[in-house]
Amino acid sequence: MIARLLSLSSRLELVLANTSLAALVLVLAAQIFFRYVLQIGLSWSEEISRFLFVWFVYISASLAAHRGSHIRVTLFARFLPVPDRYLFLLADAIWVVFNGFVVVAGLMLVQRTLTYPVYSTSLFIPLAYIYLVIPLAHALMILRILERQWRAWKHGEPLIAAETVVAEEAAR
Amino acid sequence: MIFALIFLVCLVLGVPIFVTLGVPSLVELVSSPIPLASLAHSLFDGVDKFPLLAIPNFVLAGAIMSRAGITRDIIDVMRAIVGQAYGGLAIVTILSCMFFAAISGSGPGTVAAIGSLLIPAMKEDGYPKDFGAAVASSGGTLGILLPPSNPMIVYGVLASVSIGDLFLAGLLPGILMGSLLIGTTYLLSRRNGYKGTPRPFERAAFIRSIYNAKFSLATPFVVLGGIYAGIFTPVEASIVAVVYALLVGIVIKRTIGLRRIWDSLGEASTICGGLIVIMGTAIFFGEFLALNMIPQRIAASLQAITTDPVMMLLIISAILIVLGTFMETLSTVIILTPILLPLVRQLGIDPIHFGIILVVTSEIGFLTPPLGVNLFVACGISGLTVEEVSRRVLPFIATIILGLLILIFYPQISLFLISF
Repeated sequence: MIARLLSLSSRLELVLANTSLAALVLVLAAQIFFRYVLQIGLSWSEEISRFLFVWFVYISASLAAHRGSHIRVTLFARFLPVPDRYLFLLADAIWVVFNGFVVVAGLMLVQRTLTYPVYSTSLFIPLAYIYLVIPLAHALMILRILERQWRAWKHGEPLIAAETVVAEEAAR
Repeated sequence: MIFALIFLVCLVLGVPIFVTLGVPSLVELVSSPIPLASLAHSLFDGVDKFPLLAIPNFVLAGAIMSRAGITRDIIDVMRAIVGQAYGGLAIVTILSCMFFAAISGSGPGTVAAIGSLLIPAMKEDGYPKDFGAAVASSGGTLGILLPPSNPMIVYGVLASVSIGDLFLAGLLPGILMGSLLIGTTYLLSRRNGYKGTPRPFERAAFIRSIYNAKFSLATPFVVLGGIYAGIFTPVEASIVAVVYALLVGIVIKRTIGLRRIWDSLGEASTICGGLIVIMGTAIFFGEFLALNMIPQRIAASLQAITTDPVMMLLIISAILIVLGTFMETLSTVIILTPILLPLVRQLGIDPIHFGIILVVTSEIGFLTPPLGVNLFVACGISGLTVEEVSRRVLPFIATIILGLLILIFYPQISLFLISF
């Protein structure tokens, strides 16, 4: 049961990101179909696809944190006299603190837009719900960073997906 | 000063690029009267840009095409055309890369799609493995020069220039670069005696391969034709590419089902996850950069050296090539566009032309270790080490630098098609 939950949670971002990307494609495909085939312009499609895209970007950023595939400059780490693992621990600590600030800032933004409601221009969706992805995804990312660090120290798993691993995945 | 220092410390420590851009800006924000919530707002606005939607869709289209066998069809046709020349299969690799580049906007994506089929095929035909990997890595750089192109989309958003114009401007330079790479491949194969496929050219087989692959071959024309004819915006074209690939895969070739579509989505999510997020902090970073007058200062110190546009482009390209050895290309474009653009405009360099130069230097960055993403992909496919492949890639880097010089000295090549 717990194992199943864990394996489910490990796929959480992948499922969410894939779904929002698929939805985005469907919405825009509908827009093109309506515009060029039925000659009807949809008023809501661009807005909803933009919102889906922002969700996709930040959720997939958490996916990338989970897989250790965020882009970093690792060249200098090789030349510094400190072992990589301590250096990347410091780097990830900075990352966690930054994300902490983003979570707080995001919650403030959500709260402000809940108290003084702002609505999207064509669908009148309260923007607070759309903004929610910022604190949510950055909080999720913190968990993924900690999970990866923990696995690196406990089981010696690589902290940063080896370039070749990323490459193999792309090639598959 | 503090701003630049924090940025450099984060960069050197190996903090992810999107955080490296965010931290110095956050420090400035916290010490200013601006409310913290505006950080979240900036992150949202940074990626809430409609043209960016084209990026994951072009990646997705490429992923579907490879799984549907469209990529293989394209390769088969190229093979029937030039397979028997000296270095035949290597030239097929570059040509297929050009074709795939006209569908995909990513360099490493092109290496993965073409290389995973052709690197093993070249080895079977007796080419040295490292040569095959080098050819695929180099051909893959065309992925970002021949439209569509992810760096061009990002540059267009940041520099507020038309992405359609950038796509048009990249066409001739892309064909030029492809031809130069084919030339280098041919000369190397000739010198080393890499013979083509012994089978002579058969007209019937050739026509049959084209007929079998007709829907696959039409893909770039569907994608780019729509943009160039002014029918589709780049975002719409990216959706058309996805839908077309799905139609060919599901209805015509019957090669993909839900499982493979899901895998393609997963590939796009994974690849885009670490990339597009950088745009979120980039806008934020750009604002504080401007507040600290950093672009102006860099512009002033560069203008002290020269005010000649050609000389300036040469200097900038040299800097970019050095940065490209250890920086990922898309992040380089994102960081440097706001820094260099004011200078470029001041000197009267066309921002479209500058965008093309930026993309070509990024191509070199794909091939230069320690961080050369195309090399990594080719190594992943061939099982070779980066050192082995990077030696073989040198003549191709020289070729791209030659192409870069031609483009710097003859801006008409990039600007000709958009002058109408």
